[in-house]
Amino acid sequence: MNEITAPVKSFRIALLGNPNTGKTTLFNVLTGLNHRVGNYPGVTVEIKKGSFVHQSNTIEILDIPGTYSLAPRSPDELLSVELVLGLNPLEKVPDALLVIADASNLERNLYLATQAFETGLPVILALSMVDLANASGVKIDFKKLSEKLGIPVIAIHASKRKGLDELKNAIVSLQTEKRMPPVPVFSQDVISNRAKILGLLGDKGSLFLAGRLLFETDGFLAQQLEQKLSLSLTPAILESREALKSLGINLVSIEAKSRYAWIREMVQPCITKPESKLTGFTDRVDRILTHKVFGMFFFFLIMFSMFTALFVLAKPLMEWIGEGKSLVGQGLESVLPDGMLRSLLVDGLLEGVGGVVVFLPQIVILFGFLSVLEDCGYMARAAFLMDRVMAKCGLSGKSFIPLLSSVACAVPGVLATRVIEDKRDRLATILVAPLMSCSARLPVYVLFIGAFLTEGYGWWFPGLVLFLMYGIGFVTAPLAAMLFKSTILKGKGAPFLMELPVYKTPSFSVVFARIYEASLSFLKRAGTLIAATMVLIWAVLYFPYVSSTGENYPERIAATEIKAEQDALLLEWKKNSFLGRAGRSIEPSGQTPRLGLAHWCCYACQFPRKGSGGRNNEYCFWPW
Amino acid sequence: MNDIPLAMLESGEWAEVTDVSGNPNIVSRLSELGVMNGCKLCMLQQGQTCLLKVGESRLSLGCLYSDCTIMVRPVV
Ligand SMILES: Nc1nc2c(ncn2[C@@H]2O[C@H](COP(=O)(O)OP(=O)(O)OP(=O)(O)O)[C@@H](O)[C@H]2O)c(=O)[nH]1
Ligand SMILES: [Mg+2]
Repeated sequence: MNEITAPVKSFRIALLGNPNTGKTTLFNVLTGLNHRVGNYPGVTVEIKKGSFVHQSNTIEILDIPGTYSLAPRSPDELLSVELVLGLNPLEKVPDALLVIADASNLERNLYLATQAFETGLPVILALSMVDLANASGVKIDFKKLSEKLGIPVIAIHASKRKGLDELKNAIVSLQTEKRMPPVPVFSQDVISNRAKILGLLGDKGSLFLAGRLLFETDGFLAQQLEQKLSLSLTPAILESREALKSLGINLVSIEAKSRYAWIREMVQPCITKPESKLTGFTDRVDRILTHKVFGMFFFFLIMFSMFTALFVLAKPLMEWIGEGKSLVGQGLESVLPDGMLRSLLVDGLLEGVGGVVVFLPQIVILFGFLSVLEDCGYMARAAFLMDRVMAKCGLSGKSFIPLLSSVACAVPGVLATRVIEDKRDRLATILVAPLMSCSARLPVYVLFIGAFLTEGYGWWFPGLVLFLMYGIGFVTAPLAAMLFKSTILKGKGAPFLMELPVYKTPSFSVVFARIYEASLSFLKRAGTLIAATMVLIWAVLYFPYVSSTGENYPERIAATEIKAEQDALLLEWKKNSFLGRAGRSIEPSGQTPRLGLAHWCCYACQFPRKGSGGRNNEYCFWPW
Repeated sequence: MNDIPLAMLESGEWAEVTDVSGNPNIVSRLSELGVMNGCKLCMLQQGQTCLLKVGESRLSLGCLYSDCTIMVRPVV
């Protein structure tokens, strides 16, 4: 191209918004990445980065945990707030904020936006869930809202790719111009006292930080700030607080009161909405699903169907895979000559890897079930129902989602504990999360239940046993938590406070992405580490194939036709192999080497597990 | 009409919040979520952990009553 392009600009923009407003959905669409999305608050608990190019500008975009306010209460919120305020030592402060607000709950969502205005960073407002708002009869005049707030306001529907170009244009033309909202949020007294503190903060301060120091008596952020900034500020802050108190201003409630009053003033002319009613779909369904008795009944029913499905639905699929495996085995045996290569491929690789791949249907069903529960909105209801139970163990319903996520894998489960406000509750949840049965143990359960408990029992029986196996985790984890909470982690936690999202039809792409990711990492493991391990095990069982007396086992087995003789030779060969010898050396009775042999194999299985290294969303395979 | 603690509100009843007091951290988080003096709410499920409708959002609150008191005035 010989066109002269404008100098390429590159800047960072952070996606700030309340939990569950569709930040990650937008992030994925803009960047083409595939991070986890779900219909409950607290899905994203880490900072994720991506970028896109628009009109030859490179824009780096940061997806961060959702937060209700820039006064954080939990570690995931703190992460976002520190980033936005430039307090994170590892991350540069973004150049602009893209605030995502849920249009169906606009006023509550704008609370965070009013705080964002005071950070001094330029702000763009993107409204998500406009489809839901319209469906419930809410109409918003975006142009008017934009004029009122003095910032660009863009309606988007990320998964349908609506409003994206407009949004990108707004981001590119935003540059670094800073605009304050035209009407002040606080009363004159507050503003003047805040300005006094701002003056003392110097060039590192912002209106927002000054406000925090003024309003927050013992908040997370105020404590942090006081540590970071010089303590000489304290007298000035106390003086300002006293001045406001003497005017009859309640410091605990003034911030929310002023902001909400301001929001109402701004929003009212731009929005028409019907009277709040309780006849919507979500409210009608919730009347049953959150009910003390019926809700619990459905909760157990859902859990039970999940584990029954793991058995009943997966069975035919597993059989097909098993048949496919033997077909491939027969094919290989018919084309390859008898010998070492054939043994390696059929007995080593195919048996080993095939034996793992056979459990793929279970992984698909488990992750499918979990992601449907997450994306339809039931997860938060389960946490609500379980709060009463968890409270008996000294935890809250917030601990339930990390524990249920640990059924898939404990690593993301532990990460998900970041939404828990109280440090002791969080630690107790982290400590007990590995007690939940993760999906790596699933093949073992299925194998044993399939072997011993299917013949002669009803179709529901294996599912029930599996449910009970998982139940062991569901019972021991809270009990262990109770033990921790009544001894080393004593103390009353923060009260359970959680927003329940509206019910939605689960999005196919979200569910598919989750299943795909889990299956892929399962297969990758089967294809790499497990395949390598199987070859190793095959080799130590195959060599040496000539005995000390010079007998060549494979040749002798091929030479004889009698089955019993073949079996005897095979046993002798395996006993003589490297692994067989090693097995005999640790065998207590010194008779059959099987137990010791299995023991060494278990060590081999431990090997791939170490490789998983605890990376996020990585599928850790072996449970031992 | 008299003010009552939130916990005494029956499922399906609407009320106006008249006072929120207690641990300042909890009081301010509640007010950020819209639960403050003068707001209207509906008790969706009564209980030790209750479910409220505040504005357009559904909030579940649990074990709250020891750290924070919410007084409401039922409206008809
Ligand atoms: N109807 C509708 N649903 C949406 C829209 N945007 C996102 N969603 C859905 O809303 C839910 C939440 O989306 P996420 O992208 O996970 O939300 P988030 O803001 O990243 O949430 P956290 O990470 O928990 O803070 C998902 O089920 C999405 O499919 C939208 O514009 N309309
Ligand atoms: Mg997210």
